[in-house]
Amino acid sequence: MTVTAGWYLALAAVLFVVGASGLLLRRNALVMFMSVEIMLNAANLSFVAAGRQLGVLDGQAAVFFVMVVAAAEVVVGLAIIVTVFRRRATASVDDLAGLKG
Amino acid sequence: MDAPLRAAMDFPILSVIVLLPAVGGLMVLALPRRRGELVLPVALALSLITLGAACWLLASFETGVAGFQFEEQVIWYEPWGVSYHLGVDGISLLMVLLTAFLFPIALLASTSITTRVRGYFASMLFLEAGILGVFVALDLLVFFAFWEVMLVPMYFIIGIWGGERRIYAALKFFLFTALGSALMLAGILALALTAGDQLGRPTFDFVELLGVDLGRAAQFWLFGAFALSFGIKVPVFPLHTWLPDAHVEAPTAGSVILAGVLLKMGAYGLIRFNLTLFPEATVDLVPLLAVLAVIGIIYGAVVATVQKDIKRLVAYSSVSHLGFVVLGIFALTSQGLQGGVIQMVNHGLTTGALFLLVGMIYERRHTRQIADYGGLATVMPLFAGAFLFVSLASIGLPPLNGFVGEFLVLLGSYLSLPGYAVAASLGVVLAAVYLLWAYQRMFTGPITVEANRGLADLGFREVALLAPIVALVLFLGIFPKPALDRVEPAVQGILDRIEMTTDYQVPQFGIEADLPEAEARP
Amino acid sequence: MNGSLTFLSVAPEIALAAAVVLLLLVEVTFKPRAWAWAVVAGAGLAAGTALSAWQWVAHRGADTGTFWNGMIAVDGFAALAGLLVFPLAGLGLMSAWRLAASQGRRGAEFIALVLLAAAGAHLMAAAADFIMLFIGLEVFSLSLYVLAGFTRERVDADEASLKYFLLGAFASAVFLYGVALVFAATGSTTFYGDGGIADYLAGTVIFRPGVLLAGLALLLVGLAFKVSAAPFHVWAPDVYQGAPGGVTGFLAAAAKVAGFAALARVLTAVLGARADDWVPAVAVLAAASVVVGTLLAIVQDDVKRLLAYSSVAHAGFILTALVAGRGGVGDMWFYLATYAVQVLGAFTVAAAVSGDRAGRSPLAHWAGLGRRAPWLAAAMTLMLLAMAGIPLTAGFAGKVAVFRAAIDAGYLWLVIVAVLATVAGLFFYLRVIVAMYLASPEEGASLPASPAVGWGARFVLAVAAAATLVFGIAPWPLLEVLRDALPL
Repeated sequence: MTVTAGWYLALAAVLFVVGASGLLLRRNALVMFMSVEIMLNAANLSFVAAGRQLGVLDGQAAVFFVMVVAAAEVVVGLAIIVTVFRRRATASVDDLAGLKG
Repeated sequence: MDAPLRAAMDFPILSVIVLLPAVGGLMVLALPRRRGELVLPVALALSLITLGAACWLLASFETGVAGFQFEEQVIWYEPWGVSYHLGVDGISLLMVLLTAFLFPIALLASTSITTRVRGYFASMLFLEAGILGVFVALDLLVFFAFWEVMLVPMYFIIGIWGGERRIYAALKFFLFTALGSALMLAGILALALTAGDQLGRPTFDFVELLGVDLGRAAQFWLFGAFALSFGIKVPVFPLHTWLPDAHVEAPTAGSVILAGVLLKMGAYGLIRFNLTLFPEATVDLVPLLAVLAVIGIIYGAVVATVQKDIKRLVAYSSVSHLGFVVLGIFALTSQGLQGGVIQMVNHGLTTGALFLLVGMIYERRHTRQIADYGGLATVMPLFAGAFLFVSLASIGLPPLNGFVGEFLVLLGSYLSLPGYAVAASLGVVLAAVYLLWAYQRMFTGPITVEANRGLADLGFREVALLAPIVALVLFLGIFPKPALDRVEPAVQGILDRIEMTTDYQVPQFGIEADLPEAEARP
Repeated sequence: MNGSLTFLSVAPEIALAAAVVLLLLVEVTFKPRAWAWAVVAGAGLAAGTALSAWQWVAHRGADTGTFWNGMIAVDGFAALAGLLVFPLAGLGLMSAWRLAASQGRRGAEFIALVLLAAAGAHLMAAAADFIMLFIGLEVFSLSLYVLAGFTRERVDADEASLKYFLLGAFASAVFLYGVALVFAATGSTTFYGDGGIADYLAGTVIFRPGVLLAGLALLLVGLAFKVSAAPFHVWAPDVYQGAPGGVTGFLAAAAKVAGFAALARVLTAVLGARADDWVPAVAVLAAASVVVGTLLAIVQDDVKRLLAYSSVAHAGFILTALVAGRGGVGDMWFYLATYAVQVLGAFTVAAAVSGDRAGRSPLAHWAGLGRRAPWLAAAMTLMLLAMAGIPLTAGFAGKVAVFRAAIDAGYLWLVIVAVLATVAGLFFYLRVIVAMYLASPEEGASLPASPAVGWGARFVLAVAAAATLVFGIAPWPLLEVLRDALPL
């Protein structure tokens, strides 16, 4: 059995679902943030696999952009999480229930 | 259209009439806070100038001509087919006059308002501008804009200067009316775009829309959307629940305007738009609306009879009287429609006067309970006399104005809907019951409550407020011909259109019904 | 097209970025001086606006094109987005000026973030490639995450910031995965040109239709998150309520403008050939938004939260224009532009009433405002009436425009749902008006100090009121102009 691009795309889909469910189900802000990163990497994997399969370089090029953006997101995201953690000594979003309607 | 274009018509008199009160409102707002004493004179002056302009309109109105006069049209936005189009026919002429006539009186009756005076008078003037705009607009989008924008000042008038439950009443008034008008907006847009399919471009112009054939199903739905909005305003029977609250909680002048003019907007809309734009649906739905009208007449009268609060009684009497108007409209006969229009004017005058009277006694005693009064005729003979006079006009006693309207309505509906006419005449009897009974309890016999012993009779200002209404009530009762002459061509035009577009035949004396000559027109 | 125009195609972004760099340099070099920040920020925004105006004159209607290998589009659509976003950022800064000036050295960072967000928003509207759109989206969103939590001393703000960040990052990831799937199906991320996605979709043979459809759906979900269309609106109320009062106006206005600009280009230009497939979905999204936003707004007791849910409903109204496809883009712009100004005005008043650092703005703060601050109350009343769609305000003209577009497209049911929601909406707008004029402050209630309004906020309110009235009474010239603001 050869490993075709289809398998990579399927793996990416699994990763995306893992990431999405992690974000929706976990309650620790850090873990939720990691789930987002998994989702971004699922997209990256799809880009590379599809680009390879279709024989175009656009996929690989896109991944570089995404990685840069993801790094920027980490900077901002971790800063926000650290701010929250320093004030409350918790990173659980269940403790963040001050805003309600 | 064949209306002669005289030089005077180039003057945009209708725009001026609509804008004058709005300018007055801005002037009142611009007055410095310290010069509070100037507010009433300025407001009154502007509303009187408006009345003057309306009288000029009456004087230069071409009697006996069908179609719209004093038309003004400026294209606003070609792609949508929106134009600033104004014009009056006999029906809207009477409504404009009624509005312009009642507003100065309402303003003068507002001396008991002491808080936020500038805001109050500005609201009243903006309200007047909005109402006048509704009556003269011939573009559906412009009509809707006036219709909806007028809600805001009325909302504030009830909500800020009203009685104890004012917030509730204002909100109920606003939401009921807005619900109806929102559907009407959807209807207007659908109508304009349907017309667009036929004309090749959308149009909101009323006159152009008359030439569009909508088809039965579309007419039915559009009729519903419009009638719901107008029916809430009139109010037609099951949609009336906002009315008693709004009337009771509104300040005196607010009630006068609400009953005198605002309710007429609904009936006016039914005549102007439903009857002409959706003739097939109108003919089909006559039974439904006639039933609702008759239920309204009798229900309003019965509920009025059992009221303990005099202001509430007058409010429910409006439901009954407006039922007559609706019955007259949907009788689809010349007499019925004319009667309906005349009855609109009559009701505006008499009920306006009744609310003024109730306001006057409320200012003295701060109670509206009928049981708190009794034997007032001995201490306030002038007041009692005025109340009796207006009540009799409201009941429809000849030769007062109420008689003309109710008689024509009953006559007209007898032609096409005899059963309903008979049932409706019960409403006339009940009107006599609730009004005269209220009069008896409040004015006749010995004084039962000590506090009433020292009440002062009407002062000069109050007499001055009532005198013009009383004079007009008498005039229209004895000599209704000028009013009828102006309404007749417009009404005939509407009926001709219905006959032309449907297979409905307007019944007339001597043709369909074999009735003795003696019962012919008054 | 290329050559000397290439750099001019991104000139607005370059101007803004230069202003950001200069601002931060000024901040580290000199003592904090608010006027110096104002000059730099004003110059940057003015340059951005002027360049957009130049693009508008030169490229609306005809003579449009893409640059940088199909990455950036220069057309009336992008130019108009600039003409809207940059002045809006300027107004947002004026509205938040007291807040920025009170932050010491951090004030410069605050301003820089607003400018970056504006640049990102314009990039979203001008992007002609999904990767470019993603970058614009992230530049925009990352700035707003930080702005939402800018006042570190207050608990609500960092909660708002974290929630905004987590849900926003989630939406971005969903969007990006959608892009990846679309790429897997079409082999391209570019919108236009030979081999572009629009070109591909116009063809008859679709390779991997399932992957393509899934990709498009995810991509639209991601954008729907950004414009807070139901059911992807959950972040909006918490963020609006928690963010510092001074920031919320810009945040709300810019998010709508940028999100809808991107959405409109993707839907009408890229997916234009497949309108039959997405229009029903957009109609359902629109109906869900107006209904959910309106119903949830009714039960709110906090004005900022109420405005957040009302913004969900407004997202629905704007989507209503998009069911008409390309024909509704002008109507969408009209609604979007007037709503953005209204919402900025409303939050400016909220910031004055409850304080520009405070998050919450309970209705009790608003009791008797008509007496305490008649001008503020009057301005708020006008904004609320406009949002409610009362005639003679721009809100009414906007509603008529979007409803007309939808009826024209055959979506009468959607318009009926929307008008019913409009009526229900009156209920909560009137609640605020009732509180301002008809209610008196409760005995012993602790009201914030008497509303303080800076000159910037006054200017914002004057502009908002003037625009709302002028475009309410005579919307036609603007509507006429916006008909040209079509994507390539």
